[in-house]
Amino acid sequence: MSPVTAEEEFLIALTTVRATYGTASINENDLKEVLAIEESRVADAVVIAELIAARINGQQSAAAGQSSPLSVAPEETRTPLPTPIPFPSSAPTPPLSVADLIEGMLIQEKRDVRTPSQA
Amino acid sequence: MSTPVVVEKNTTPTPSAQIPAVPVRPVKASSKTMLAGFDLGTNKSCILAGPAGQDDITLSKIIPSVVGYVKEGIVDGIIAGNASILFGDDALSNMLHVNLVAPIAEGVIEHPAAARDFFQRIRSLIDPSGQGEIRTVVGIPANASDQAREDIRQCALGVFDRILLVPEPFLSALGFRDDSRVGQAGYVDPVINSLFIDIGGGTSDLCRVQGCFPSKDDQICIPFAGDAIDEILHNELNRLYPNNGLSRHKVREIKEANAYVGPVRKPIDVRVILGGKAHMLELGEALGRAANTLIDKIYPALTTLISRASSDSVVTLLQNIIITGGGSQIKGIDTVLQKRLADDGFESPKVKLAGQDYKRYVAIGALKAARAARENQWQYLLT
Repeated sequence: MSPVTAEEEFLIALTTVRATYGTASINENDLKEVLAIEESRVADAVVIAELIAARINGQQSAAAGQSSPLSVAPEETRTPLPTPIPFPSSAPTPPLSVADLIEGMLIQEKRDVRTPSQA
Repeated sequence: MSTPVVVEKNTTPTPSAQIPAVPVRPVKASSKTMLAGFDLGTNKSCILAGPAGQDDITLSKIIPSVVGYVKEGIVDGIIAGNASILFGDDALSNMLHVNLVAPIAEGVIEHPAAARDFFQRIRSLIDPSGQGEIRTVVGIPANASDQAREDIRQCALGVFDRILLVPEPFLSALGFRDDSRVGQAGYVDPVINSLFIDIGGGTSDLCRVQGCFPSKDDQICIPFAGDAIDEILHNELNRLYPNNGLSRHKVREIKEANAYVGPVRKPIDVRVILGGKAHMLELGEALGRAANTLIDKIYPALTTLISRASSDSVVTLLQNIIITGGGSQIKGIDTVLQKRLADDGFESPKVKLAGQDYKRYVAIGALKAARAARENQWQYLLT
């Protein structure tokens, strides 16, 4: 005997509820609403997982850096300006700092503002 | 080497005549700081927020970008709480009783007063107490003009405490990036080499992201996107079925359910209510014609950005073309673009869809940026 799928289980439960409490006890709109809510919850969970993964990854990298005697000195890892990465790169590329990318954006903005007045 | 200070203190922006001056709310040093990622969309906005210094997300919401001002003479009790302004879904579900205003058009602020009300609503969702300091990264269209940026800042003045405006395609790349896999062999970090096509309601933004912040040459913004498809489809429907009485909202629903690109697919029978009676309309050609216009607009911009990539990077770039935004839901858009690139001789192009979470990537990227931004990178909102 094949195992009951989640969908079959749901249909059985739905039939039982309707048989017990009447066909009007659950309507399709209610079910769609529940589905929409659950979809939203799953989407939220994905977002949270995405953001937490970044933090965990960062903590693991930091822990690995601390335990390694060859870890790079903090002064050397700090790059004031983002620089283009050479292509193609078959080896893993070090993660880019988002703050550095933002810095690049702000420098560009300042340059764009200055350019017209200098012209 | 000293880090350049980019904080906009003591600036005197040109106030828009339509935006009333609002006194700056003082920030209490001891108050709670909340960070927010805000995708300010033409049709829908997405907001993600959480306390600074933590990973918690206390708000994750998608809201139609619409404000409803309750009409005069509405009987008490019709509108919940007798509110005078409604937002998002509440405004849409009460459209008979409100004057609907869309604050955003083609990705930029069209109605400043409504935008300010909308921002106030967003603020109240982020911080119901109204006491916290709110810092928000706002997504803006690629190549947004200085005036468009200034309009956002002016509307945010007195609502948010500090702000960063970042182009949406870059935030999409940041949101789409799987941080847990960055640095792993075989994972192509979209922030390192990708081309994002973000098809929204008002604009389609294309952006090459190649390891540094995209310059203006890396971005192309086309004022043709979902709304323009709606308009073409609406005109086509009016031509085929005169006096059909279909609203733009209904036309958008039809598009979202059925739009496709590529060769004509028919029949596509759509059930609509006209004059109180159900009718089946065959819309195969109309839908295809409207949506294929988008391809004709996007494709030249796509090839332009590809042609600007260096010969060292272009092969990897072609493997990492990602479509996001509402337009990514148009059936066949990835395969049609990929085939067109291949037919034109581009080397093994691969066009992917961002996936079901497309509505949130900009806001995810914005929240990541908010959490990563250095203290001196946040811009003050001062008169």
